[in-house]
Amino acid sequence: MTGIFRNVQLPWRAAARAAFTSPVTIIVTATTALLVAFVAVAAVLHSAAAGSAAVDYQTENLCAQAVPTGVDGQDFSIQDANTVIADARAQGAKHGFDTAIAAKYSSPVVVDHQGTPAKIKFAYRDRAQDNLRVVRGGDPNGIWISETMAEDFGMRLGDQLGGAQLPPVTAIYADLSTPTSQWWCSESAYAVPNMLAGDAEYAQVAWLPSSDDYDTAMSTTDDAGLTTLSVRFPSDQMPHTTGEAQAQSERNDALITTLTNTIDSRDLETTPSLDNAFERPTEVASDAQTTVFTSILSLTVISLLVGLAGVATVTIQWCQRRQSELRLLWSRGASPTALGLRAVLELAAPLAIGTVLGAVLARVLLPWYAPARAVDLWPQVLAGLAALGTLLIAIAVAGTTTLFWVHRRFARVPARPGRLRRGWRYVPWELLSGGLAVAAWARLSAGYAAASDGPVPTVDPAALAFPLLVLLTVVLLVARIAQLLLGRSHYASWWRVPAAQLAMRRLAASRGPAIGVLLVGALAVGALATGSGIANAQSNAMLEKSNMFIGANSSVQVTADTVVDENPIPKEVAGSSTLVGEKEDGDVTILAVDPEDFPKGAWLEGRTQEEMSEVLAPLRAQRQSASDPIPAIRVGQAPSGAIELPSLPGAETVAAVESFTKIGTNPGYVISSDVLSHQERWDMTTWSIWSQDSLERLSGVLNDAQVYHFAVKDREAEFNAMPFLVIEWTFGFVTALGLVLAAVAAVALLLAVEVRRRQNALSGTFLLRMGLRQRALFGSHLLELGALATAAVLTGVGIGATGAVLSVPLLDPAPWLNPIPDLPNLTPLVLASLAGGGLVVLLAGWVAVRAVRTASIGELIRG
Amino acid sequence: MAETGTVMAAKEVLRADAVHVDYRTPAGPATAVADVSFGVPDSGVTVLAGRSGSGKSTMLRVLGLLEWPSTGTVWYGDTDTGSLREPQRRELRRADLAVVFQNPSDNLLEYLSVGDNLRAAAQSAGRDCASVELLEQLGLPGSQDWRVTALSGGQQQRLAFGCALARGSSVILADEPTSQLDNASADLVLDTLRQLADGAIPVLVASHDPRLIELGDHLARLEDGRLVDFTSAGAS
Repeated sequence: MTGIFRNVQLPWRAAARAAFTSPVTIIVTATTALLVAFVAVAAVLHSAAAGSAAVDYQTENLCAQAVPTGVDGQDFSIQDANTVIADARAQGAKHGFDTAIAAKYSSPVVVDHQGTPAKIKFAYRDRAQDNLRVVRGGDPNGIWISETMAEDFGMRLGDQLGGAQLPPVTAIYADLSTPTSQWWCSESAYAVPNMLAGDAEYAQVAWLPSSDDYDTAMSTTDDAGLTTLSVRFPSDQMPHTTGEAQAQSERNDALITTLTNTIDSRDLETTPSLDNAFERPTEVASDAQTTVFTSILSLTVISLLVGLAGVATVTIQWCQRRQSELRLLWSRGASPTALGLRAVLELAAPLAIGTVLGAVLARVLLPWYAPARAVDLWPQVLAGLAALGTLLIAIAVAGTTTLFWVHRRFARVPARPGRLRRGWRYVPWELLSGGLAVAAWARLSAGYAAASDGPVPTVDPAALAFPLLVLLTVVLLVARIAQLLLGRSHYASWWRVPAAQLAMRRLAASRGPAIGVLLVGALAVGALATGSGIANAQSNAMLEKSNMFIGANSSVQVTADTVVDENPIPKEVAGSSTLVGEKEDGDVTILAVDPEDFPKGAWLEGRTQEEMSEVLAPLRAQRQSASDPIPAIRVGQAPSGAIELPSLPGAETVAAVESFTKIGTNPGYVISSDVLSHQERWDMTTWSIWSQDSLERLSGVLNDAQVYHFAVKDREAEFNAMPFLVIEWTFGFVTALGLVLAAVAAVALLLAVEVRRRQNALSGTFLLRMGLRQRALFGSHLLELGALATAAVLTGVGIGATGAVLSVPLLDPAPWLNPIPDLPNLTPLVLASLAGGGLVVLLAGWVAVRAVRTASIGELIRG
Repeated sequence: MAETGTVMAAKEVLRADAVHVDYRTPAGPATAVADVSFGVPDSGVTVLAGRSGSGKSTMLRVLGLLEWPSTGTVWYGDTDTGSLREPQRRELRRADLAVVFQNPSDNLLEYLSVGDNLRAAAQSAGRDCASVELLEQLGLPGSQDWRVTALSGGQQQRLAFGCALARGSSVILADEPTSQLDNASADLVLDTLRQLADGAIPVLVASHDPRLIELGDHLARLEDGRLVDFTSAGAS
């Protein structure tokens, strides 16, 4: 025993041992600390996970080879290109970019093939042959040509391209087309022929087997021109967290700096561009993390305060249980501070155990409540510090609560009893939070909540707090009303229904705990309703808006000549795709659709296929003569009646809709593509195939059918979902906090019942002796607890949903795109809340009645 | 000597001067003690007697500095305790006053052994304690390492008085020390009080137990919060 402890008096020295005299106190204290620590740790980890999810989202939508630094350059001589590539390899290796893939592309050159001029591009890329699909041949020591090249120029295996120094053609590969595989994505501008670029630019690529062969080809071809180069540093280790993204970006910048200096010292005629394409995504991920953290801060603080109030409540119960000891030590001259320390010494261990469990649980359950699994080390350390902070605060709360309790109980001068407590009771907390809610509404309705002029919405936490402040205000108001009603309840007499009378009296007798449970329960259900409502609304809005933006799940553009004579959609995707022509006339968008196929391939704005067919039915009206106007469906505020469409026949509106796929609520017309002549089809600006299939499948089928397509669009990749995701992640955490608060409410209810076990047992036993049926007694407990649970669920759902309904349209990060988000169906949440509340009530009722059944009346009287 | 109102004794360890205690209740203020003045002599057993609700326990708490009077003064020797700040009152409680509560278990720490309870009491006054000898003196030899729950109610209350002795207090205040005990256990407590009365430590006991009243050297009777009688055994 050290000197310090030798001077500590026995009751303090033995405090930790004293804790074991009440296992229930240990469990309840540890559980309370667990929930507090869980909230604090989960808030930090959730924010970090949001950053990680933002990194993942962007790396998934970004070409993987563009994540590390990229070197690109045009108009290089062979020597300079080789110098740059060698420098890039060397400096890349020094900066940890172990793998470098270099490529060289010539300008389009005309080579003579058996008397026929063939326009091609020579190219070499490391391991290119490993990543091409061979159609014929396959010897890696020769030139590889594309299928189109073989067909267009009649080239065959064994043919000689260019000079005799070059190897012969040894393989024919399947044409590369967009969307490319990940290995080719960074080279699509160089390696995928662009048929729309014009004859001067369009050229198929002939891959040479080695860099030296490329150099030879360039030196032996008359008009080979200059070389375009690229160097990539692919890695299997993609960043998954903001820390990893930051590190990657810094490595990219470091390589760029070193390589720039090296290349500058070479004094080359041309310098390459060095790009850190991952810099912006890193900033976006960091912004997302900060935004989510600031957005969840308000509810996290409220939840922590609720949790710490729970610690205070547990401490007060400890004080009541230890009252005789505290009085004894007080009578022996112990100060309130010393007695506060006595509480701390007994409760610190359970608080610490609960905190550790809460922190561990928050880490283990991360995949269930957060948008990503991966979290950097630093946020984990920060989360650990947050847990430590909550532990220290909880300990301080326990000590301070005991200090005040002792002071109020033993040291107070009788002339001023209860002044402080009454004072707190009369503070209009609901007016305070109501005022804050009004201020938040002002910001929300002014559009501060989710202004999205960038990839991440500029979220205003004050505005985002609106639904939560509404919830808090109404819950406090309900608690105030319940407090007043219970205070007056002694005037009511419901003895005709004894169970109801008993339930009411019991509630009135334990007003404090009852109001506390009601408050936390309503807050919990409200947080669940608000959180899940807004999160799901954002998720649905993201799906609907992205569909509206693209028109379908995927979209590819096809050339007009493909659609003039026939429908180019292959039969494999015919049942899920449709051909759509598009033309702009000022602000007016004109869509030419196939009324038969459109419902199968396009996004239908929530309509069924039959409903969309009905909408398009007027377009099927037959014209009597070619001079008759074509039928058109008016969209939005476009003019009605007879209309002139540019380079199209005259039209007359035959129906109107407020909104239509792709056009939204903007002015526009929908016409049938069937009525268009060849020339009119040519005159449409673009023709696209919209499909419900994935882009990979659509493009694959089109490639197999040799339908040239370009401007490929994937709904998920094309539409920037980050603003939606950030709000969804924010309110996803609100939902998780709602679950934690629900657990607190359930534990508080069970604790309230357990704490008054003896009173329940005594009164219940006497009531049974006086002739009350056991069923009626059980019913009274169910009525009492059920009233609390029902009030909590109805208040929570009602206010949570109302706040969410008001907030959802204003939290729309893309209000320019239909549809406006609306609240999803909350019936499952209401039913789940009622079922969960019912289960807790049944359990608590059973605990209360069990105390009566197992009580011995003699023991109860003797105490 | 039989006086009501202001009572003076030759040497007093504690003295109440016009002590008045009001409590706030939902029905309005309730008077527990009204203008009571008397002194606790510095020797023998002084019994504060009266029916339930007469204010004797309140008076004991006020004299034990566990509660503030609404008005009036409590003197400890020559010290006006009303003029003391809370830390100084605490110091008086720590060094000079020992309180024995009604319920035996309220006077002991159940998670400490019998011997440790004595040591804890002594430590609270900054003293050492020869617990073995003290337990023999209390008639509880060999119980040093027992759990306090192994003792009967009477033995526990004896141990409570032992704790007061271990603290070396100048005065012991006991609130109905026999009310929670059966006759046999109460006898043990009475024996202890007799021992204390024979010693030099003055004891103030609030009780309506006739045997305890009979044991007292001085008797203060309270009725409805007012002092109606104060007698000393040798004074009539």
